[in-house]
Amino acid sequence: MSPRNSASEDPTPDVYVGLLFVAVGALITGCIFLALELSSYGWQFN
Amino acid sequence: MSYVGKILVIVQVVLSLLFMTFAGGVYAVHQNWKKKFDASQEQLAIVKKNLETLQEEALNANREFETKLADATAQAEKAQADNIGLIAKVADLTQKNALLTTQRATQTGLAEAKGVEARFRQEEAEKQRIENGKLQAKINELAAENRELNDQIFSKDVAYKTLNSAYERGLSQLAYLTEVVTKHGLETDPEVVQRMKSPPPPVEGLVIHLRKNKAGRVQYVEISIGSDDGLVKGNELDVVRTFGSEDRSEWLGRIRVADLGPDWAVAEVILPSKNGIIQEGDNVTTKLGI
Repeated sequence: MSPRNSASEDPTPDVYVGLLFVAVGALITGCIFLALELSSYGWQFN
Repeated sequence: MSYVGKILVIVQVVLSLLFMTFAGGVYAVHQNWKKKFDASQEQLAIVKKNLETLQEEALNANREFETKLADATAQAEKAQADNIGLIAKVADLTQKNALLTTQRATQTGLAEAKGVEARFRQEEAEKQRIENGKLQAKINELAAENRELNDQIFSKDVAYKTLNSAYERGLSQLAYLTEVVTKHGLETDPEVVQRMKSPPPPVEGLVIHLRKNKAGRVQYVEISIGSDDGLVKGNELDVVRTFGSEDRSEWLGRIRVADLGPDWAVAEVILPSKNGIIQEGDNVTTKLGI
């Protein structure tokens, strides 16, 4: 995303920024589940 | 933010939530195949171990079975041999059984006959028992009579002893008197004495020998008849001599028998005739009886 007016003015966080944090949390949680799943197999893939 | 950016943010959020949901679902409901594999491997090892044990046991059992089979085969052969012997014995026993059956039939017949005989004997025994009772009563009567007779026998025995002692005394007295009589030259035989009392039998004989005394007279004569003709001591006979036709005879004397035998006798001349002399060959007779 390119700045719209000037570089000194910070954009105001909106609901979409919050949704991005939610997406980050969901990705981290999914990664933890997958890591736990792999740990139960001893991190062996074949 | 452009409209496309907003849509991408929403899509990213939705996809992230779906990713989290699927990862959580997989973690929550998945099955741990590795653990199952390990458990299966352990169970497989146990099963293999059990299989080896069972194979070893089966091998041992097979050996034992072969040994038992060999023993059983030997026993079967022995049993077969025994069976042949037993078959022969069975045949023999069957023959014996037939013989015994025949004997049993015979013995049964005999036993039935014996039973009939036993019944007859029992009936007879009952009759004999009744007769025995009667005989017992009679025995009692006879025993009482026997006691009375025993008493009588005792009395008679006492009397007999008394008489026997008297008889013994009589015998000794008789012996003494016989000795005295014999010493005096008298006859002791009662039969001879009885004959002496009775007249002599009518017999005739001959003078066969003479003996004379010192004076030359005939004293003893031996005659041809004796005790077989009925003479006894003391009998008196007449001596006669017949002439020719026997119509005329001469009396020569009288003699008395002093000793005699079965067919001879010696007599003493007790009354000689004055007209004649006794000679050998003269007749003697008891028929005159003078």
